[in-house]
Amino acid sequence: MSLVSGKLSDQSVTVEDSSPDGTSRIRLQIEKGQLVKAEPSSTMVFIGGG
Amino acid sequence: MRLKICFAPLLLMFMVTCFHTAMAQQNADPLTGTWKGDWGPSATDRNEVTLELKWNGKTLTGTVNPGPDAIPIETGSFDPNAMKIHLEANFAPRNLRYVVDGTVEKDKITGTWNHPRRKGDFQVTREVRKSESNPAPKPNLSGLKADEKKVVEYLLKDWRDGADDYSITSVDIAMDALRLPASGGTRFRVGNYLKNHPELDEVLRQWGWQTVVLTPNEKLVARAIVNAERDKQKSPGKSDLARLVGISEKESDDALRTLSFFGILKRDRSAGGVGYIAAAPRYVNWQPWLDFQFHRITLSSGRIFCVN
Repeated sequence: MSLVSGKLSDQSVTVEDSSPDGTSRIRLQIEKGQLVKAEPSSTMVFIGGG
Repeated sequence: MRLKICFAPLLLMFMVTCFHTAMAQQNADPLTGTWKGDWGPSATDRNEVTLELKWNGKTLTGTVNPGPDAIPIETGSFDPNAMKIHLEANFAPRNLRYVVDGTVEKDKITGTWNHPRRKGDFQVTREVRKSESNPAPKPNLSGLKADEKKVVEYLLKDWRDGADDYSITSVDIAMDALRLPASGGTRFRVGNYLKNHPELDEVLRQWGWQTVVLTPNEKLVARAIVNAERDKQKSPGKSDLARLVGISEKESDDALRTLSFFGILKRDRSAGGVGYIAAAPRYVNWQPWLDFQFHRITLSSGRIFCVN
């Protein structure tokens, strides 16, 4: 997330990801640093870790 | 006598050289510079971090994440004998005081951090300025066919040029970018080459060959098998596996074959289901590593790369 909100903050970015404990695919659409869409709709996005 | 005269300048040169080398080693600054890496409370929850450190021989100063949101290091110390650092910084927006302890080993610092509510670990590597760095030696790619060499050369360039993006682009993305057909044979041979040549790049040594050789489908299939084994569940059947991963049964069979080829899974009909288990205990407990994780970035410009 720091990459898309930093160096890629002026871009349209798609992140294909997955839940590490399962096999569900996660797709995030980020426009200019802002999360605009997360699939599936049950996806919870946590920003930061400390 | 003549011999003694000839030796005198040589002896002097030798002594001067030794003195210079000793001074250079003594003066080599183990800390000053830009360090980049990640920190987090667990192996799967990581955040990028940049440290700008300055060591004047007595005092350690610097900032965390230099830029508009920089956090100044308020207390810093370095023990050059033990090669240990201690840093304290206050993150004002959340009113948290971070305490960091680490060990310096060549161009890497690893250690722990904590604040009153959480703790975790970190690792950073010192950036080498481009003017200081030696050009990458041309890798010896003997044994690879022309297209396979192109893939390896593409990856090595992308990893190096994309270091600022933390790019760890994978073999399938490289093949696609080079407009090579999605041939399993080419990917097997390139993958096997990368598996056996970790000396090629830091990406392979740091993240493991698995993360750049396997496709997202293969990683998800591997997870479905090894997580079932880890949780002492029956291995999924053919149709269940395809459904779990969201691919066709043929794609699922291809992924199993690839994972078996690379020594990640092995046949064991007693496991039930598709009859595969992890080929090594490491793959059952894979999560400290990032073998089967993927984070694939697609930019509007068309560039595709992976990060960890």
